[in-house]
Amino acid sequence: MLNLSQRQVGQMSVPVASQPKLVLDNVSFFYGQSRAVHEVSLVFPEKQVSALIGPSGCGKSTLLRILNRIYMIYPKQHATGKVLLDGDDILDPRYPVSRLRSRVGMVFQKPVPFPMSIYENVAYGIRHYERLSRVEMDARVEAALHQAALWDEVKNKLTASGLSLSGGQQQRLCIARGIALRPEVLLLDEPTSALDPISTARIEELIDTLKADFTIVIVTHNMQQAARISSNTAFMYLGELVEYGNTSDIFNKPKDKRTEEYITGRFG
Amino acid sequence: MSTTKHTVSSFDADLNLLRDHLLQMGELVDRAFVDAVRALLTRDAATAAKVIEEDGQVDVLEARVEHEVIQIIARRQPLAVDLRDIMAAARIGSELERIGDLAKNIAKRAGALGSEPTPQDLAARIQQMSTLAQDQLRQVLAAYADRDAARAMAIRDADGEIDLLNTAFFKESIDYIASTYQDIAGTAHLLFCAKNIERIGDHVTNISENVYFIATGTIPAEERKKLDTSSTLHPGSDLNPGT
Repeated sequence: MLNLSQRQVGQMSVPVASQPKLVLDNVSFFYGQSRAVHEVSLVFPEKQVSALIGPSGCGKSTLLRILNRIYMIYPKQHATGKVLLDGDDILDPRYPVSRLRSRVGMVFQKPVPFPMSIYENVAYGIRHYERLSRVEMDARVEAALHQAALWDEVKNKLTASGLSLSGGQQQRLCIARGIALRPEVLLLDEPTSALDPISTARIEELIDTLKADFTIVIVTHNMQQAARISSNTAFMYLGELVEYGNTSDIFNKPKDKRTEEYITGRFG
Repeated sequence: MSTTKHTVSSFDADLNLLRDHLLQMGELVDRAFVDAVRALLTRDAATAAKVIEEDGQVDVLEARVEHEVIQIIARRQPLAVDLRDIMAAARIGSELERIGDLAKNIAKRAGALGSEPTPQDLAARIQQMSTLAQDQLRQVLAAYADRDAARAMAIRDADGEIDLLNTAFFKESIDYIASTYQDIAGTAHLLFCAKNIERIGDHVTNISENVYFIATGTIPAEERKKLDTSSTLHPGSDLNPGT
């Protein structure tokens, strides 16, 4: 269990008394020479939804990408500082990336199902990590689709292409694919920005259910969405963490003038 | 209120219109209150009738304010200071409407009084109370217009004075009835009028708390002391005029 000294906790933004799942300690991120995230320290509590908001280019998606080291596929991008997942520094190059990806799942803005069957979309990642019998795999796929609130819509066409689904269904398939690996953390990068209001509502409902099992960090441009679904909200601007706190405080009575101007539509 | 304008300027226009309508309501009830007390103390039936008739305008404005609040919530999904601003606007609208009703009630009682002039001491006390309450009302409207939390709190703290005057008036009225046995019904009407003025002070206090809420995001922490003790006085109490 993570043991933070008083001094460390004092420097970090901790919105609520809860078990810390991810602890960012003085994290910066660089695209080549240019710094996109400046010395961010905050705690994402376990099994809660935390939202990252801020104008385009503020570093919120970059911050999300640090949390599963997905930036490593690009040369010249690097992060400094520490990101502790249950106390393990996942930015440490010695921390195996395959282990990290199984613990921290990610869903992107646009649904990106693999060009294969609905069943295989979910089973594909599992095969990478585990050797399961056919019966076991069927059970895992079904459980993941159930958990992603998609099972009833696809149970009779599991062999159909994932691409044949609607946008909202594709996004839920991507969530099913992510949670099939039984990660501990789910990163959602504007998961509903390409969806209609009904599909958005279904994803939000799903997120509300998933937080019982996962620690969720979501980047969203939709402030009302952050207000509806998250317990904690971080406002970022120009690569810096301006304010982080209970969502109700951030949207009712933000402390920082810049947060207030952003969430009330008075920015710039 | 945040000084920076919204990116969507029609949102600012909506909020400004809402504020203008509330201030307009404030002016109407202020005038109704002043006129009602004058009608009461001068037995001016025509002014009393006018106050009663014009209360409908306040009701119309209140309905408009409520409609605008609902429209803004539905169309703008306001947050933070904007949300506080419009929630407070809805509540302030109700408070002003109640003040209008109380002024109307004073005007109605003015009509019920006979032609005998009000005893000078009692009239002076009513005038003193209403002058104080009118001043508080004007100040709270100015504090609302400026989103001035400090001024709002000062108004809230000053309401105790109206309470004390009401208690004093209660004692003085009983004393007057006990010593003269004259115009008991008229004095009873005056007691209700004094209570109405004291209630107007309470509504002003509620408005001041809403102004504080808009400016700070919190409700004033301490319960305000109620200094109007007239409701607990009984025949055995010391009914000698206080203050």
